[in-house]
Amino acid sequence: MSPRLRWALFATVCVAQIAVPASMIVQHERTRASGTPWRFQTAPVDPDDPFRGRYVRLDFAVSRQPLFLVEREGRHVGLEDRLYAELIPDHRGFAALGKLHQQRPETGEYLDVFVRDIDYDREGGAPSYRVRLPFDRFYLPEARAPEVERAYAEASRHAQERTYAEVRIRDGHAALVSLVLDGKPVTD
Amino acid sequence: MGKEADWLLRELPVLVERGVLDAPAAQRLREHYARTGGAAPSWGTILLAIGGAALVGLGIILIFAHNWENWTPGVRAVLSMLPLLAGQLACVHALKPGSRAWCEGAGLFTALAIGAAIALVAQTYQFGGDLPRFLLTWTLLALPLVYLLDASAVAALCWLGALGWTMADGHGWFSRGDTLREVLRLPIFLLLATLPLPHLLHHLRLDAGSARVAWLMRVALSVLVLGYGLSTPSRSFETLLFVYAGMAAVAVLAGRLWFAGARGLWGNPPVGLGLFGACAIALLATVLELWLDLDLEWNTLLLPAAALAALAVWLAYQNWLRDRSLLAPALALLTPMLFLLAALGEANAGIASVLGHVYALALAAALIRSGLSQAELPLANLGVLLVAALVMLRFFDSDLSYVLRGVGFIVTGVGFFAANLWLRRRLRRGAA
Repeated sequence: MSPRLRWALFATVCVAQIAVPASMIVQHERTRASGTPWRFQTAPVDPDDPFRGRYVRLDFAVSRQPLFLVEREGRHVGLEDRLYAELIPDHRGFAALGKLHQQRPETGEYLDVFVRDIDYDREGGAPSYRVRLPFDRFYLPEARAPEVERAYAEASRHAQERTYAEVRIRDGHAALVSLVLDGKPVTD
Repeated sequence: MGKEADWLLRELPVLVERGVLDAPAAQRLREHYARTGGAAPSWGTILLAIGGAALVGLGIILIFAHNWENWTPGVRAVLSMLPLLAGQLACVHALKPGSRAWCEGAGLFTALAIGAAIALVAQTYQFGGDLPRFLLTWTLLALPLVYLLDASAVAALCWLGALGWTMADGHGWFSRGDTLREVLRLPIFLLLATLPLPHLLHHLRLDAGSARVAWLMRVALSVLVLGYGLSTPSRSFETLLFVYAGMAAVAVLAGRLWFAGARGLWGNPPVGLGLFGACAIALLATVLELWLDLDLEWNTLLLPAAALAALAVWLAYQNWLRDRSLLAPALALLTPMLFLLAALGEANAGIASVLGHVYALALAAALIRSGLSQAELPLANLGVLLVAALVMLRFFDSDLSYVLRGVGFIVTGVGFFAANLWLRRRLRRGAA
């Protein structure tokens, strides 16, 4: 490999290495600035991830509801496959999930979700799916994480109407803005 | 290596003067050694650089991952990128006609910094967890450094990244192989594991007996074996026995053919790991329950096993032409024998198990015979060990009393020592 080519390739690789984390930041900032705001009612859970710092693990009421594909599109859906869930507001102002799509919907609000559970209908009907939302953790300073974890467990059991995650969503991509426990926002 | 290169460079003027080398050849040699690090550093220096880079890189990951509270997200994002930028600057230095130690150290540091930057940005901006995607992105972004810097430590990291990806993508359990994602996991893993391979092949051609090649092969083979098993859907699990048998036979035969002369079983990883695998599979083939439970159906994942078996036969023929060692045909028979036993086992598992014993003993005999004729004590010892393991295994799954089992173990142990002593004497007599 000639030195010039080697340097050119090295420069390209450096740009790519920086571009990946940088594009994550840009996508997040764009979603935060111009995404539609939604509130997701939480449900109780917790632990920690060796790759990153401490965080409070989040679960959501909508993740526990069985959802259905809008139509069979031929491809078999498996665990952790990415699907697109229609977003609709419920009567309390929280986000609810509608039908699931295998392709990005062309109209309406939707969210990227991941299959976490499949229930095959024994009588040959359509299987139902439960999904994991892409914002399933809230990072916090290490010293505060256990305390917030406890408050989260408490509030998501006993103050469900006032405990939720504020999220902005743009083209399926979600940016977690804040976590509200019993009406009080947790700052990171 | 460093001393030899220094010596050679000092000798060049003399060699040119005496007409052994012409001046352009001498200049090419000087350029070659300048490119590969001039007075090439010793392995100690390289290992220190790798160890230092790994420690600093991991330390930075730990300090940063430990949540830092006093900075705004913007400052945190910039700080997350700093180790990566520092690593890239170190790579710039290493790319100049630098030293090999710089290449390895800077490469590994940058590779670790890529993972740290992505993870820290994800944390700062509250991204959800997608471990397989994170590991895949990290591995692919680190991979070019293997080739640009000729960095073997990064190659090893990429292999581990491929293994990590397939483990994370399978979510720790064996998938059934129903969905496209599950079916594609094995080919994608194999493709990922192939990406650092040209680096290994390049160094194989340069110096097959080097410690660098031995370590790269240890990592590559371990990742291949573990990753193949973890990527195989659970409904095709039976095929693993045949694929692993093929891999073991090919590894030993290729290792004996192309790395002959490498030091012992440890210094020749394909032979060492392959023989260990072949002996384990031969022992497994003697277990009656295996043939009772095996429910082998035609499966496309048996194709790699068949291809490996065919390759093993060809390699065995090449080995046979070279040294007429009995080990070559014994290993070539491993996979075809398993296919035969699987077919027989459906009708009569007992016969399959008996034939499994015959094969294990034949393999042991071939190991002892080859070890003796080629004065390789570890090979002969492995043969004796295989017989001892077979005896112990039968003691375990028989209904004998503890006293009898104890006596059996003692007799096997004494037999092992006696056989070892006898082998040493035979080899010494052979050498004299």
